[in-house]
Amino acid sequence: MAVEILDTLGMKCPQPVLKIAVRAPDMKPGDILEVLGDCPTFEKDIRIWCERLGKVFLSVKDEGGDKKAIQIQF
Amino acid sequence: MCLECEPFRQNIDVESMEETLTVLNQQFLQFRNMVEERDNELEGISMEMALGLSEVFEAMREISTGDPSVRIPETSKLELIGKLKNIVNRTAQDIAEIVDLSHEFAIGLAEHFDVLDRVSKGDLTARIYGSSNVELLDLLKKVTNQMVGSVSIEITDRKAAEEQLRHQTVELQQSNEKLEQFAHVVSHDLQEPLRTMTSNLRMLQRICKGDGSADEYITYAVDGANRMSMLIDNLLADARVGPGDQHEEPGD
Repeated sequence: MAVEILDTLGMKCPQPVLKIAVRAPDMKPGDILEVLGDCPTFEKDIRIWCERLGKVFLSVKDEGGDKKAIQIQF
Repeated sequence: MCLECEPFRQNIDVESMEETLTVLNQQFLQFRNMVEERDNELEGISMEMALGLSEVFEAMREISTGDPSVRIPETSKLELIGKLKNIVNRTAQDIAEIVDLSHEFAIGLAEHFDVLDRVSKGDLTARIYGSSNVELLDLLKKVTNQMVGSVSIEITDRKAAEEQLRHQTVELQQSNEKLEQFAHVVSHDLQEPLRTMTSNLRMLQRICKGDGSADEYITYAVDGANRMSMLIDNLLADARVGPGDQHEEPGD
């Protein structure tokens, strides 16, 4: 089970979601993708993406300012 | 009235002077009150303008950082500021609609991408289940699911046909092997009496040496036996199938 990092800091939504979609085919079942972002709707967008695509929204961590680190399990 | 002017000097007296000063003081007080009122009014307007512009500035900043959900109260003592706030709110609402639409498209696109990727990796059960408020995305979902369904049926049918073909090939190979075995056995069984017959005929030919007619008939009989042996060999060769098969020479 691998943990990979995706940095979307500075990107406006919905760009982070599109970046995750591009990365998704390389992820194996059980792998975790940690996404860093600071867009105001970042968390909401990723929650919707996980819900619609049947992925697990594992956790969200405030990293100061608007920065957040969200973990998704595939 | 000017205190230095000639008419004032000519008519100078204490009473009129006091009266004039009293009037002047009253006028001065009125004027000062008026200036103070104006000053207060201007200060209020400036404060209202500063507060209103601060709210507008803050809202614009939030919109520019990607949060168009911000709204500001449109009440203001200044009509101009009220209108400005209204414009900001309407602009934010328009931007919010565009952003929501872009989010909807992004999620829809990601969903389609995921399903097509899973189908390409062999998961024929993958379908798009999410619903969208955007008519085009809903239609795209329908078309994609129909296409994946058709591809799924075609692949399933093709796999079934391939399996059937594989099964038939195995059966055919088994049948050919049995036929070859049968031909081999039949050939051996037929060749054996022929060889005995030919061998005995040759012995008889040696015994009947000198008898021209007997020798001729025996030769015909041996030739006939040889032809029959050759026909059996050909039959065996024809019964064999497959490019790798070697025709065996007739054994003893």
